[in-house]
Amino acid sequence: MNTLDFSIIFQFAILLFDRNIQCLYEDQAGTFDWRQQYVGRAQFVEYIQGGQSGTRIIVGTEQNVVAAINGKNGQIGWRQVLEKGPSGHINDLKVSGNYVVTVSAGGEHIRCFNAISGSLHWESSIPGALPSHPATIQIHGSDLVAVLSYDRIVAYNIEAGNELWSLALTDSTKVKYSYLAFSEEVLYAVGISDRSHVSLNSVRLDGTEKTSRSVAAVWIASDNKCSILKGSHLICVDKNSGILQILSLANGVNFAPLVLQDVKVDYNKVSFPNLQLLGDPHSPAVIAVEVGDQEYVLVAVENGMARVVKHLPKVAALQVMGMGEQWLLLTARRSDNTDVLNVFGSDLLTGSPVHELSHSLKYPIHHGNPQRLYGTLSKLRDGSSGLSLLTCGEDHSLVLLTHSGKALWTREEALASILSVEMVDLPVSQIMAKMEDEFGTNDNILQMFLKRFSTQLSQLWTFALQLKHRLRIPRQHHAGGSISETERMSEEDSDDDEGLDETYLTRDEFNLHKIIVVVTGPGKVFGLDSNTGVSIWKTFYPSLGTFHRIDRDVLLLFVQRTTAHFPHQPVCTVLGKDKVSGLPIMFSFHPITGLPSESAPSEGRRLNYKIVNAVMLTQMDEHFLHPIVVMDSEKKFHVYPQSDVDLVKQFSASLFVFTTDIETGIITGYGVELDKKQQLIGNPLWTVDTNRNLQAITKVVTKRALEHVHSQGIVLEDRSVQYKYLNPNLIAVLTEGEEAQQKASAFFSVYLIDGVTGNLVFHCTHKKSKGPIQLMHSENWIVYNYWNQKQRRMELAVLELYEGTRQSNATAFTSFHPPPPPIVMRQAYIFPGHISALATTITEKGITSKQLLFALETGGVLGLPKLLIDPRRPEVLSQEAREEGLVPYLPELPRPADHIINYHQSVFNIHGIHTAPAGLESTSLVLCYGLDLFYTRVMPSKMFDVLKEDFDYFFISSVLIGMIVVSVITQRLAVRKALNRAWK
Amino acid sequence: MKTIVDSVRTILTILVVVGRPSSLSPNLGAAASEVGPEDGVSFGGGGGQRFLIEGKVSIPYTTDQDWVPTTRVVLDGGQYLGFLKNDGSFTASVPSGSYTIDIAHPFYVFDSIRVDITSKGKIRARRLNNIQPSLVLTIPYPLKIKAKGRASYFQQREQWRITDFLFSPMVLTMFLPFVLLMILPKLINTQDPETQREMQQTMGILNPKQSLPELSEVFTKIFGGGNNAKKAAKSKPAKKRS
Repeated sequence: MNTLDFSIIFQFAILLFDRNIQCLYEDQAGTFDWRQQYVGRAQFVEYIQGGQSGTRIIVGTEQNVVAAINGKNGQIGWRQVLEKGPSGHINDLKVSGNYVVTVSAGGEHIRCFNAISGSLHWESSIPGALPSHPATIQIHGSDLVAVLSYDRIVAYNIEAGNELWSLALTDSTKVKYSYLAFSEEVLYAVGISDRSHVSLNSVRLDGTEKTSRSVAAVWIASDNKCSILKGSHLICVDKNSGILQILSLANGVNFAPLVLQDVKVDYNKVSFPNLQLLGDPHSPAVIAVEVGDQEYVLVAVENGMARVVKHLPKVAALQVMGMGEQWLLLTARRSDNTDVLNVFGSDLLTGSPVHELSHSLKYPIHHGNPQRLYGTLSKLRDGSSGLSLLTCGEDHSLVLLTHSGKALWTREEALASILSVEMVDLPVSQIMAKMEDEFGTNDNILQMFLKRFSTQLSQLWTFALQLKHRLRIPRQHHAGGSISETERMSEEDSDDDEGLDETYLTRDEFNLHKIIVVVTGPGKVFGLDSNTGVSIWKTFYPSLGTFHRIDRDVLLLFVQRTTAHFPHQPVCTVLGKDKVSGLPIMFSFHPITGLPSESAPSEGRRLNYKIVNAVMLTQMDEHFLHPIVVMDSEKKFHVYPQSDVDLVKQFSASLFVFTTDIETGIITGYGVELDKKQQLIGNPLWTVDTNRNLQAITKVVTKRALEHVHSQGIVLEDRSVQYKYLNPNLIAVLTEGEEAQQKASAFFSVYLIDGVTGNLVFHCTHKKSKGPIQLMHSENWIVYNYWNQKQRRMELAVLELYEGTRQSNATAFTSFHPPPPPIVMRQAYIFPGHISALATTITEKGITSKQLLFALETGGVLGLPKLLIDPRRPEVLSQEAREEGLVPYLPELPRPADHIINYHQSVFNIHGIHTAPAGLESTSLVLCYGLDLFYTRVMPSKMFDVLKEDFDYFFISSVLIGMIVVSVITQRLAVRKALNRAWK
Repeated sequence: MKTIVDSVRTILTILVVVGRPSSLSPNLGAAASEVGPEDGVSFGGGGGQRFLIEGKVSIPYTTDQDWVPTTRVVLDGGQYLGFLKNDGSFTASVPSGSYTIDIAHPFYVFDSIRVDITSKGKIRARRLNNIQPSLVLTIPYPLKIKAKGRASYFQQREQWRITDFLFSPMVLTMFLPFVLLMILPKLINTQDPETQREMQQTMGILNPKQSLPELSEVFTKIFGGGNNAKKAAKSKPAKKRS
């Protein structure tokens, strides 16, 4: 087959499915979708003052992003997303003039970006760089950039980007070179040799080595934290004794110890003191030593001698800044559990307070404590200097506070690390709730009539009000998808009085408006408005840490009670582990308001055992609450709320749990039983060993509990029915491994296991194929992608399971009497692109055909109909197949641009797609999350249940009216004619 | 219990050995005879030698440079990245192997390219062909990548046009005969004796059985109809005469 044939068939295929799927019109862009762009948690922050583009804040983040943020409004000026994972990890970032220099992966990538436009100026790479060994950068003057990697120093010209010289360091296998500093015309590179000595190398600016010597330091460990102060002194902390050790780089022979007098280091809270360099190269030599939780000691170094300047017992963050000739110390701390941040300014050397820098600033409690401060001074009109303070919060947020006491802008960077998402229905309006209240009460007829009458009257009244309101304000359309991810002051102001209309947060006609509850990595939980993406509430749980599972962090989010059970309040619960103790911790809250649930303690429920598994039951108790069942490492079961233990005992015979041990590769299934003390305990029923020596489990995927499957089978062309194998207990296990005999040949396997009995339903292995693999499990099919090593292309495989033409049990599926092994149909396709996340749409009743959503590495999110990923696609299109509506098999899947659901709103590093049903059967709500967020609605079978928005009402009504008019007139004429005829 | 567990385990191990993906991969005939080096050879921690892939991206549709910072050069789905300089050129340092290169820009579409680098550093670029990976259609190296065009993300909204309405089959079937009925007689000058004669002739040809009496007339003759019948009978010859 030649390529021409392919293209023709392609067009045919595209035409065929184009009719089935909804594409966007240009004027629809941004009407129901939104995108938010983030940078992640800032690791490096540099200011670029003034210039024609105003103040720019250059950040390098944990999410491997280099970006410039506009100082005025907090919007992203430009953003460059570096490589994912360790090869893009930013080790150091420095700014010089209009250039931003970054080094990542230990020197594998050195990049210089233009600070104004964000385009690359030059890039380079140090041969032999080790990604595991962080590299550092120092800039001398305005042109020389020195980079210290694992075993060498390389110098570049910042303007031209050419390598000036490169110097190999000696003994780099034993000595860990980590510190680099310029001191006038000499460059020092300092390395640590574990438990032995410190190596000092001094290099002249032209790259010739000046001296190389070592200083004995038996106490030093390779993971010690050190700092070079002003290019002249090396300061290290002795991990064991907590003594500061100071060494002059130029001529020091021995370390000079400094005992921190009168200061008790609390080793329970800090493993060993952190060092924080303060100020810039021109400021006095001062270093802050973090000796406890929010406790610092300020140490100044003069003439090789160190002395304690100040002990700061209660300070969250501190910063040294210059004001004219004066050097100031800025400290900040939150006044106990309020929204106020107290900032104090004092002279660094004398300690006398500076009143114009001391402010009480509003810093909402949901930011936690500030972790770092970056203060700048600007001259105001009246001659005084105004402080603007950039704070990096515990919740990863970036807030620019001004001396007026308000936040100029806020960036919620926690949203760049979303771990769990749930979309929660809004409650019905009060009137609707009253209407529903009518049912289930035993009033007499008159009362009921009056109640009905009054509620309907008030309904009419609110309708009239709404109509009036709508007429007054023309409908608001927000500008095409580019909602600012920064929240403006107006939003901040609305904290005081609820700016939102009371009726705004009620369910709309088609239940399209929802609250997206989002749990993020730092432990901050948001309630986002699905219409606009603005957060309606946010709560920060400082103690909430994440579980680590296989290769990613996990926080569990359960919707224990939805809004459907008025007057019971909805409840969401997040389960994580305590950051300090490592034991599980649970928080329950109201998903619409974010307030803690009345029934649960607001400071969280701490569980005093190690958690193995946690599930939410589909059954409800008498208060319509789904209990959460937690299994601990002793195989005991705990039920939350505890009052529901009896309910769980009642169901225990039909309750099965499985656990996966990644370390041993063993999957174990448990039944729930009652022990002698009437406690719930797990009884191991089955185990499956995936043979850890050969392969490792990388994914375990179950079906979504919410999913409805509308049709039990598919009708074939001979009018017989092929029944689907709909086992709700089926789990898909993915294992990856390397071929033993053949080097560099990977393989992976997919196991389908019945989660109740452990019965292996199906298994297949792909040789010469490797990950990253995404796997999706829905209805009776499984879809996964992999990299075919032999053909060097991405492929997508689909498995569909059928019971056959007879259904063994039409009423309910039972794993104990399973149907005969299912017929497995499978097919694979070439996928034109790389997939970072995979999901399928979900609708209210499951009638709408499915659409598969692929987040591509190039920034798009592709939506393809399930029709194209159907193992029954025939190679030759027969008459029967055509009758069934099958598309002929083509090796490569298409990637038409109009099926990119986020059109030109590119999103990067997407690691999850959450879909939720709307009230309309045709519509599914989609949130793609990763570094960026994108939300939209998709209609996989077009909007079959609502008139299209461009429906021509005018045309239809004019035709209708015309017909009526014509029929009336012709009737008249006919009557007249008949009369005339009668007269003749 | 233990026996079940063991049996499951043995079944599994057997399956691991026996299980083979036979029908799964898209069957495309002959295995490709690979020219490039085998992919997936692990280069531990950047220890291997690295080579530079060079290229230049251009978008002929715009004159400003705003597109430069928003364009990314994605190698093997983001394993390696290239960033553009102001003039659109990029480099990417990679170990030897075979790489797919995609240019990602929100508004423009580019062709995908495959670049093969031998272990000695010889670089060859070719058009990406996923269906026949062995097919080599080399393109010049260093790469010069031009945008194919703007991505059409949106459907065109249907607009109401008079021509659409007029040429719809319903309108055609209803109005065309009507138009013919109304306009055609007007086109022919019925006053002209020449044409009248002509028409009569054609009518005569069309109605060869004109001499046959009409059925209604026969019946009226039989059952008697008085004046009416006479009139009708009279009118016939009159018509004939003219």
